[in-house]
Amino acid sequence: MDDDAIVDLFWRRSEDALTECQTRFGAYCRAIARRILNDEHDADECVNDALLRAWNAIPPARPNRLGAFLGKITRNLALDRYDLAHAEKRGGGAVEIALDELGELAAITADEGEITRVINVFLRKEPPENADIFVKRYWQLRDIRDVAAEYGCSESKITSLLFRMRARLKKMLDSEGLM
Amino acid sequence: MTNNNTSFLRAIGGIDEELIARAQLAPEGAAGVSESAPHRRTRGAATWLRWATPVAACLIIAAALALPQMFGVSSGGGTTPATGMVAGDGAPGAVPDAAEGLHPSTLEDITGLPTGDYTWDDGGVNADRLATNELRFLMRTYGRNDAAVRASFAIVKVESVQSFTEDGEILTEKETGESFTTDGRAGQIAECGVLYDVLGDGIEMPLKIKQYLYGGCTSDEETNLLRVGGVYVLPLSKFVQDEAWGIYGDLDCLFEVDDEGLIHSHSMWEALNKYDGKPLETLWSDIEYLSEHPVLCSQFAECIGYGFVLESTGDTLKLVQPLVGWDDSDLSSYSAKLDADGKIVIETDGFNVFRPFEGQTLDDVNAAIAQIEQYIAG
Repeated sequence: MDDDAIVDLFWRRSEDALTECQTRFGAYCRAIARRILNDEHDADECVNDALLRAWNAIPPARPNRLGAFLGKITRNLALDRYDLAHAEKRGGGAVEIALDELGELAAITADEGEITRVINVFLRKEPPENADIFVKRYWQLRDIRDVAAEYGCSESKITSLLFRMRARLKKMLDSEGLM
Repeated sequence: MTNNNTSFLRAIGGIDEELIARAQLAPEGAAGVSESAPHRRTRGAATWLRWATPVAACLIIAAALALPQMFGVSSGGGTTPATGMVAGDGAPGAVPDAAEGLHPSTLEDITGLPTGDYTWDDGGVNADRLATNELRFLMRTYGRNDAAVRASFAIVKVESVQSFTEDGEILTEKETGESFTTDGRAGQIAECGVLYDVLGDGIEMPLKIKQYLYGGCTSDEETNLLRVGGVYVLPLSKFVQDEAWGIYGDLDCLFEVDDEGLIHSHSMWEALNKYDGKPLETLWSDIEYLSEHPVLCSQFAECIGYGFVLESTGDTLKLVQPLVGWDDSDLSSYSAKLDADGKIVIETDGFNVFRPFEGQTLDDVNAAIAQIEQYIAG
């Protein structure tokens, strides 16, 4: 079933929409949440919460890209849980590693919306493949090793590519007065 | 030391859904992977040639169907256009030696050959290299039906070349899927890998670029020929319904990347040769900007070509009224007028791919034109 058909199910208030979402996007969303939370049970709960949010949002929303829509909700919910929990639990998870890697960028305190705007501009100026790798690493929070395997290249190649991209992004954020 | 501030990650969370969705599919399902064998239309080429100004060299790119490995591309799978990577028929990890086909990490990593220090000798010939003096005029989409043409730019690396003589016939129809002939002219066929392209679709790997040496127009044909190991940023054009890309007009070797990654335009035009000696990324970022603003490029260029009334003020042009009456040619058929709200209304035969500035006011259009003028000036 394609995205439009599933969205139609939401609009008709058919609970089959949730089943279809689980089938098509469950694993994808669960993987995003698991990388952030490092916990299967929490990840499952996140996905269920995300589906509930989607149920409440559609209608009136009619997302064009349902996978990205659900992934975003899941990611935000997982980060909420992470923030709630990290005072007690920390270390070793994908979030910590990504934040370490992002270094100075992660310390920016500017408005999130502004940062997002610049990131979107930045990614659209990058070659598509670079942008995809950036999204895989920092949006999906995938391991560098995992991404390198997917592209059939060395980890150092991906590490180097991301390093240079971060430097260019920092420069752009700096030029926008956000650093 | 770990930074526990997740606000930057939340900001990343706002990345456009289009980018997220694309990354979901990449690399094996990247958008733009052609699913069918190229279908070529020689009729389109004939129309274009009829329209085009005389050229010193004519270049045709044919997307290869099933060619041996080249530029890190295995014959065992399809390719993701512009990446040189095998789309493959198995898991991503099964990609053979794909690291070789991965984009260079950055544009700074791309280098070509030492370039000759020459400028095209235009000799007063009314060729595209004379008529096309700005990048934006190379980003055009125009025309109608199968004569409609779209534009792109690609960074290509030449892997091999095969020369042919005036009597020779190198490619057969079977080999290319199209009945190219040598047209009684000498030239060469270059096989190229595509490192990047701004459209990211439809350009398959490897590409075959055929160059004819017409002779008589210019005195520099030999310098036009693409060289093995050379890296070029080429303006491409193709008919909307065609699979074959060609280099725009006679703009061979516009632009060349040297062994230090710097640009050589070989152009007499300041708007093009201003990139000479600068890093590739300087040129490429401008190309990307222009490709994202079709209203500022193809529509504007189209208006110059097809009768919108423009007013020149110093170095800038301003649209002052739409076309009156019909422009009816092989390439376009429409009339334009303003409705009661001052918005441009286009009347066409229904098959135009191009409907210049439709639904916009003259003020909207002029604001857009001013925006690109400012960018170009800056």
